[in-house]
Amino acid sequence: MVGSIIFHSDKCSGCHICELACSAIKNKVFGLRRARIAVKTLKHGLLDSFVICIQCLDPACMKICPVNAIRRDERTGIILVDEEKCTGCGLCVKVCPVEGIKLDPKTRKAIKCDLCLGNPICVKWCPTGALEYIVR
Amino acid sequence: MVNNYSEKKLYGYAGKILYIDLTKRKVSIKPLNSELAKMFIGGKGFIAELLYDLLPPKIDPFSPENALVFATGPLNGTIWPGTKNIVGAKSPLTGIYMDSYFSGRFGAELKYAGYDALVITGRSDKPVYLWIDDGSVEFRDATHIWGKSTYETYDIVKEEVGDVTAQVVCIGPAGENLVRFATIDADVHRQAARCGGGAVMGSKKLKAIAVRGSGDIEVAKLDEFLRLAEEFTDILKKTPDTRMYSELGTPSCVPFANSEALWPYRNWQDQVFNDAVNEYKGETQKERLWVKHRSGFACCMQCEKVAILRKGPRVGEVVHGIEYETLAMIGVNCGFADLDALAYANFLCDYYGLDTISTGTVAAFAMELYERGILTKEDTGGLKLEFGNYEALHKLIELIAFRKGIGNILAEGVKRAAERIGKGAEKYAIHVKGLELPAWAARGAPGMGLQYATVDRGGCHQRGWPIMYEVGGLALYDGTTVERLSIKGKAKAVKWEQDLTTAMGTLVLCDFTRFGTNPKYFSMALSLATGWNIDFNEFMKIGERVWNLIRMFNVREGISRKDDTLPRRFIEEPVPSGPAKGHKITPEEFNEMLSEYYKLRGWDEEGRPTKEKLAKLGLLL
Repeated sequence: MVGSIIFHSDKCSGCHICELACSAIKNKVFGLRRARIAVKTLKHGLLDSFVICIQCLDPACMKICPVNAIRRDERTGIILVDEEKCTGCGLCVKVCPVEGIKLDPKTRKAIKCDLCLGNPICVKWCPTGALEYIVR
Repeated sequence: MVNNYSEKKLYGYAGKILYIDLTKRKVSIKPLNSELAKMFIGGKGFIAELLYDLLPPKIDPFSPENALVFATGPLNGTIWPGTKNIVGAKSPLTGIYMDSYFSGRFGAELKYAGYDALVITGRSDKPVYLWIDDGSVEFRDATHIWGKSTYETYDIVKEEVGDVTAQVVCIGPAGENLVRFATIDADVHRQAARCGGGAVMGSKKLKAIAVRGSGDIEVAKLDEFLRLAEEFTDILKKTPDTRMYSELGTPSCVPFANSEALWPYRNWQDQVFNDAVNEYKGETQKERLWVKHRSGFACCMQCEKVAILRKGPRVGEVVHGIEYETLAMIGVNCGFADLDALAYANFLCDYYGLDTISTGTVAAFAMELYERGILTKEDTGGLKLEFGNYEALHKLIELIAFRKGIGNILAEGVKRAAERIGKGAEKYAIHVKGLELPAWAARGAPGMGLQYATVDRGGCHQRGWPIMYEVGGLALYDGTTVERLSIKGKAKAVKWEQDLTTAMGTLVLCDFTRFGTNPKYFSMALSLATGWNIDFNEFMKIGERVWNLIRMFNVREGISRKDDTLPRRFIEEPVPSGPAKGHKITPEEFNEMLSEYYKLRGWDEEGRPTKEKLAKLGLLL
């Protein structure tokens, strides 16, 4: 079964290790803007917010995609992007309500969190317990 | 040295240096020289090399010729724990080499944008800020933010560049007004605090720099690098040192500093202040001020604390938890034990952009002069500058930031201020080479004294901390131990500390990541990131090379044995209380340590690196 990532803002120290682990696993490099997740520090450090795809049940990104590059995996429910099909038009980015999908700054293809197919690397690396993986 | 990687790709590096001339508004980009990268690695090494190369001798630090250099190393931007940021220039406070570290991810963003270093020269004719967005560099008008605090500047610049994730460094009014110990502020609450980098920015009419990068950093051996980073992170998390910092931050050392009589009370007239221990220690701050832990970039330690002002004119303002140096230099040194008054003083320094160590020193210096009658109420504009009077201190901080009244003299730093005031004030000026000393004693720790006397940027505790051997009782690298008040073995400890911290500086690593860990991890991480085979001995030699190059910079500016000194108080007045009661560092002991240190360094009796030494380090080309 695949679950979801819960973010405990009060435990997040804003270290960005989650994003670095993400870019290292997905792209073999370190780069915050190549990661599929993001931590944003707000209110002069009082608040850290976490940006991640919420794997909508009826995703706007999937509906708007003109080339059907976005699909739901039947078994897990994870929303996946077929980078071969993706043309980088950016419509999915425009309609996503939570900034959960973006264009990779290098490949210009849509990228998003796929929960590492059930074994999220960001949760494994998070040093404070701010990220938790829950399987329902 | 054989490696299997192409010379074209410098793993761990962005591969370019960005040069900005503010006078001509000219931007140029040069490729990073791979031979220089191997010799100096990055960070502090690049700053030393670039400043030695770029700056003509004896220039005025406020002249357009001075260069402000931000540099990164091969670990910046990667997942390696505890990479910081470093900026260097010729210091307006000391007139010699300076560098200053700060937390945050400015360096990582710079690398993601494509640059290993940023070199800023010249002087803009009107206030300006820079927006570096990958390959694009914009000179943006800053007239509307000139005069604003660091807090406001940070918010306005982030709003104008339109991305909260961009990184911003900026100066406050103190930097604009050329206060010689003005900070460069990063992320609102963190500062490149020491040596007056903020005044260098002010002299260039450069209010802020914002940077964002969408690129990435590739290391040579990713899988092994990740395994090593994971292993090192696990060690870090388990060490008692790290756990202490996570729980209580740097104020965790308050009880130790007081019981061992190592912190400054009333301008170092004493080194014990029992009343302040409970008020300033970590547990109290945690209960009364802190609301959240923060970490440096890619760090698991969480030593930084977010706090809220609970009282006073700016109640509700988000501030940083009060670091040990600040609570000791401002609270203890100015003779008051009141956490809310201290938190407000800390806020004022951060808001206007003042170094809390130097501010605490000049304030305590002025208080001692006032109590001794060297400064009168007329000199202070009516301020009753008595020890413990924190309301007067709050006013004094504003006078310094805006260079008004007595503040205009103190804004020059304690050395120049003492010269201006005269009447024997020099005796009470606590500095080395013009840099105000931090909150660790030399009386009761003579190795710390030698450290202060010989540090590249002047009186500083961050280029080695021999107190851990002298008072902490830890064994040196070779397994030997030292006696607290003896001078034996101290020169050796100081040299080792300086070479190691400088080698770590080339990787821009936080000092705290060496406590309770093995420094061999640093050379291993460097090797896996770059693909070069650099063992620990070679790593230490790189540290020694950079230290010697900086000494050559300082020798070129006229530094010699006569400048490697301690404040008179530490030589003349025995410490009045605590475990080292009665101790002072005699001139004979000091000179013996210093000569031994020069000998170990391969320097002549005047403290100049010999030709043989420089040749051995590859510094004579």
